[in-house]
Amino acid sequence: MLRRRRWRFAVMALLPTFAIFAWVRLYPIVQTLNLSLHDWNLLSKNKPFVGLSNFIELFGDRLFLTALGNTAIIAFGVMLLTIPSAMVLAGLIHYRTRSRFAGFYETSVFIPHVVSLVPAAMAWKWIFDAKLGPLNALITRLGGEPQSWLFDPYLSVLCVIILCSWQALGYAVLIFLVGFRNLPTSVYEAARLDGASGIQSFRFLSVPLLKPITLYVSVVTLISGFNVYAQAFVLASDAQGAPGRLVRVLVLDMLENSFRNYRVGYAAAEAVILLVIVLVLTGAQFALLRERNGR
Amino acid sequence: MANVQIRDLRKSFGPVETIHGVSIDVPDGAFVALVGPSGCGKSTILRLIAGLEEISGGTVSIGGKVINEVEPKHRDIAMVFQNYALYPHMTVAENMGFSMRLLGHSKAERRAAVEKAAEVLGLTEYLDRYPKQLSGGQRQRVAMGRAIVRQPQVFLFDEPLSNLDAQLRVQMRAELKALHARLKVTTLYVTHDQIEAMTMADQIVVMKDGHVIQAGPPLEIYDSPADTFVARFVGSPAMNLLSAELADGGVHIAGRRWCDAPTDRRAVQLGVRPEHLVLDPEGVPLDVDNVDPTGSETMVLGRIAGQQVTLLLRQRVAVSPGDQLTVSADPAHLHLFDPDSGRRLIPGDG
Repeated sequence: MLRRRRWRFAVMALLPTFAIFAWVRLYPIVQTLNLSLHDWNLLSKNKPFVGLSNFIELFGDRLFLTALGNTAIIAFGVMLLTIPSAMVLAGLIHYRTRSRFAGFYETSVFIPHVVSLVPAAMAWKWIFDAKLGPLNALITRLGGEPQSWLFDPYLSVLCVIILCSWQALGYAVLIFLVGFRNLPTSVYEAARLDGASGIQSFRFLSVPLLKPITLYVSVVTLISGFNVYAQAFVLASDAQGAPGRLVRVLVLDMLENSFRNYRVGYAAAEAVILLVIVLVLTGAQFALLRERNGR
Repeated sequence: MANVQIRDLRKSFGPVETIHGVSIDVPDGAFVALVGPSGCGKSTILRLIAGLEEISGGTVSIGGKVINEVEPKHRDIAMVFQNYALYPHMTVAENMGFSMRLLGHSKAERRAAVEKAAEVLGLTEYLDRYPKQLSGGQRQRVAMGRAIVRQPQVFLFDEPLSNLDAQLRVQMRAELKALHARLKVTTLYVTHDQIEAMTMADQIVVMKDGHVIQAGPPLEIYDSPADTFVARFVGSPAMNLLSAELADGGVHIAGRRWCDAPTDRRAVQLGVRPEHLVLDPEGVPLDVDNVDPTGSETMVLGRIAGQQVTLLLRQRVAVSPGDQLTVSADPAHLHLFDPDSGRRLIPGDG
């Protein structure tokens, strides 16, 4: 009797939270899944069921495949650039700068993460500017050839990667710092007595011991990388100045399909594919973590 | 192998000095235990020798060479930590061979050295396991294995058995002792467990509040404690300390003359170990408060003239709380202390 009452209380207590969660989280996902199987022009009352034809069409869509390719390159590029540099920076902040400047270093690394995206992207647009940008000025001064960073189809992808990494770095460093602070000091002392230098301790202890953190940060960075939009929109205008066209990314493609081409079902199918990618990445993270914990 | 010489060692953390000019000599091949209550600075001394803390004053020499400014890895010492400090992501073999890996030894050399140490410690079948898959005792052995593989001049042990259960601790104590007898490496062993120190060490250094209170062979410290702190700290159950009256050239408690009094004193504290109090029909009355029979012996807690005492009897006695016993002690087993400073009054008297 008591048990049943407790159970009822638990359900009642959880219900409001669950209801809100279902409304703002589950319903949109289910609705997106549903929409992806229908054809809808945003206005019409009719939403004819089209089965998997949206998906089939997507895989023959050159623009979508370009967007998917660009997005994947950006996401993995950001991850490959962010994770090692974040780990090294966090390590340096943690071990080298136990000075009064440590707080300053942490803050200055974290600020890009909280700065409003569009002004930051505009600043980077200026940095990458072929004629007025300080990057080309520096390259010229060092005797190199100035590059048209934001107009070259390959270099512009690199520019988006750099901007995204600059933004992602702060968060990654913060998480790594927490990881470093939780590492057992006695293990490092034992390594010091075993003859390990600072760099060796980093390589043989920190890197493997921070594996769960690295996995977590990698997946979070990858997922946010797959959702890249504003960075490309601001940085990569094409020759006519149409924003975001030079580096076409998935979210931009979705927006165009929904609100320019009025093909909401088709765009929903893209969203489902993005969801699947994110789910696979998260699943892989959990699998890797489990494998590690099972050891 | 080498001796360790500590001279006027000092350590300050900010303005607070925690080690106040400590001097200790550890002869070559000896097993010396640093013992004292928590916070007395014994672990700090070990960390200063290891180079994990910076020395604020004084010198530490190993084999006649001052090592104050020497990097920890070049001090040729190995340390076993209280929490073992094993590398959790490495197997037992990798843990033990890590120092050799850093020195650039080949895989085969490492394997040979690790297998040799594993054989000594009975770890051969666990070499491919991870620390997580081992019991506390096995982890402790791996930590020792890691120290042995390096073949250091000095072993430092920082309360290595304190995380083990009582039975395993007794077993590991014996194993450590046997290991020391076999390897004969100079060893400094920190513990707060005086039994551990008594049973294992050639020399004991008793510390309190960053000072060395007494150093010497275990039995000498037991028989002739330098002051009331050492008297109470070494030996279990602790020594009884009783306020005594002086009259007619003798030390009196409860109307009985226990021993001769020092001539130049007006007051003394009498120390008597629980096992040195014996049942004696002509002794002083002891009011029994509590009786703890352990099987092999009986511990009686009571009061003599209102002062708390513990009595350890090797025989079983039919006694219960509220009863009265009569006890006395052989004057040869009594200790006298200055009631103000706590210092021993008749040195060498046991």
